[in-house]
Amino acid sequence: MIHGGWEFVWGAYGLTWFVLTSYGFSLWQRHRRLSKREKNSR
Amino acid sequence: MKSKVILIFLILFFAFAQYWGLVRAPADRMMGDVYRILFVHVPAAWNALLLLTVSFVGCLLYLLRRKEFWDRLAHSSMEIGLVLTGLVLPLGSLWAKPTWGVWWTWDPRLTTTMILFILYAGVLILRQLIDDPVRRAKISSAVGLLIYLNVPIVYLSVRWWRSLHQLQSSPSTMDPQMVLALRLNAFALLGLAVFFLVQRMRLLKREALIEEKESLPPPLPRGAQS
Repeated sequence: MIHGGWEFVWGAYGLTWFVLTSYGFSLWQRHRRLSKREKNSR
Repeated sequence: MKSKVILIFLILFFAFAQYWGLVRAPADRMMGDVYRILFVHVPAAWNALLLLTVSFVGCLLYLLRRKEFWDRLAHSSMEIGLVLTGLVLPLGSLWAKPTWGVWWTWDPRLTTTMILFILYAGVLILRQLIDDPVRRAKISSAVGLLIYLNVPIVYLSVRWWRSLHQLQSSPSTMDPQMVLALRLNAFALLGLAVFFLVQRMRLLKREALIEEKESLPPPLPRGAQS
């Protein structure tokens, strides 16, 4: 049986949160940029 | 407002599913606690393949019906499928190091997944290079159909080439708490993926409307109309 290895587990869960949060943030940023562009095009 | 409420619910559900995987599921007989990476690695892989299958459907229906909606679906699901495929690879490495002793090996499952990532990244780059929206949609749909061939290869690679990567597990060989943790995490990630998909499609629709507006000639001054 493998003992320990929690650092790999925390790394994996942390990475998952980081990637999903970053993608969600990028969507929000693109949404904001579009809103600005929409204002300027009026 | 409605989107924010849904997002908060999905984040809470995701956190609950992760808690179940980290705390409530028992340790594995062979792999100890390291196996808990399964609860993020496998749902990410399942959802990546699911989204790439949705993109295949979008590409096919765009070519058949030529409706912008299907191109938006194909583009958005491809992007989120790519993000999840990009997540699966390092998660696999984090699991491989303590169990196989290496971060990476050219195992058929790993290699085909890496090829999958490169192919879909290529299509998204290709989309950026074509200005005409109709031509962009046609070409990326055709390429999207073609590269989807790799998705069943990735799925079946562990059966075709018996190598280092383990075969798909069956719920009958797992502890019920492990099965529950896996299902909770899979549905929680699916919920977030669908949320992202809807938001991305909305963004693409808005972007197309703005581009259409910007391409119109500016209105003539009042005096010049007569």
